[in-house]
Amino acid sequence: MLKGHLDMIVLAALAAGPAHGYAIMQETRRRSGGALDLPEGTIYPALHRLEQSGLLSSRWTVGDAGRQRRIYSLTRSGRRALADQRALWQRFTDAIGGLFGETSHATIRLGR
Amino acid sequence: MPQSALVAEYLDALTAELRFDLPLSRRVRQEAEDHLLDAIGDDAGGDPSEAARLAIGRFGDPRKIARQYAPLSLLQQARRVGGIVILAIAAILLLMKGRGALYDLLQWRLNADWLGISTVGAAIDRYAFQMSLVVSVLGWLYIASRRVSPTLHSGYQLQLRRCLLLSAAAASLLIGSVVLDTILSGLRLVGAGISLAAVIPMASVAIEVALAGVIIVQLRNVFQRKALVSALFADENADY
Repeated sequence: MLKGHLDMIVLAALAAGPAHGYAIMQETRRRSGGALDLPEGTIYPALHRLEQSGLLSSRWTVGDAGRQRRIYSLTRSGRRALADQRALWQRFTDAIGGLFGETSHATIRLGR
Repeated sequence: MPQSALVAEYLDALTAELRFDLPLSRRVRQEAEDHLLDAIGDDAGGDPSEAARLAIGRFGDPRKIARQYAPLSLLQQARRVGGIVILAIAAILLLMKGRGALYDLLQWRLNADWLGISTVGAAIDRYAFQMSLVVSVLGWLYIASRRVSPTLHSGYQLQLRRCLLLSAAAASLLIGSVVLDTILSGLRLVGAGISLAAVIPMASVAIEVALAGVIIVQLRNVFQRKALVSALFADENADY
């Protein structure tokens, strides 16, 4: 399931501002309360793909330790894509929530 | 094994798996190194080697990571070759037109003995060139309209194969046209006699041959990279 939503997870993690790969992983883990614990190397192919699709931009900077690191940020298209994904996800969760709600009621009715 | 040696060994393995795209492998190596050093630095435990082992374990299998880069890399390479073929065709068209204008200006006619051969040769040359133009444009439209897939599934592989075949077909026709062009130019120059003015058409033919060579090298590279990617997926498990 995570594999199918990796792009959305990365876009969401970058909504707060530019970050490098390791920080994106940490942010994902923190905001999901540890539930989204991805294999860390998988984030970089996703970042590369999203950058090539024009949803992210990147630049090299020098970090505190003096190492070169690549910082990613959302482009305008990336923000739009994230908004679309959010809306789609909301509709999906509403639909599933409704379905589960209906199922619960049906179960109760059948149980009588 | 010390921490730095563990990280270097892992990065070497990752770079080796990404050898189908050398600029990409350099970029990924640098990012992965930065990530691993951050992760090791954040580990509160006392043993740096153990921290390195844990960080490498969390980062994942180099082969599985490399596989995730393959679909985009192959599509980009197919696009680059398609673009190079179109640019080469445009350049060769300009060279051919320029050479034709020069022949008219200098009134270099073909020797009557060669007229039959050159008429047929020129017709085939023109046909091959026009066909290469049509196939390359169609190929480029096909390549440009492909969307990158996160995985290298069979449908996507078929699309990539079509992209490369269209580029290879356009390149073959173009190379045929360049060969004929070289022969016809040679016949014309032999008829006209060697002079200083002959340097211009000879140079333009040399540029055409060089462009054909660039296309051959590019196509060979992309087919080699495709073979490397196929090897990368040879022991693919049910995850992909």
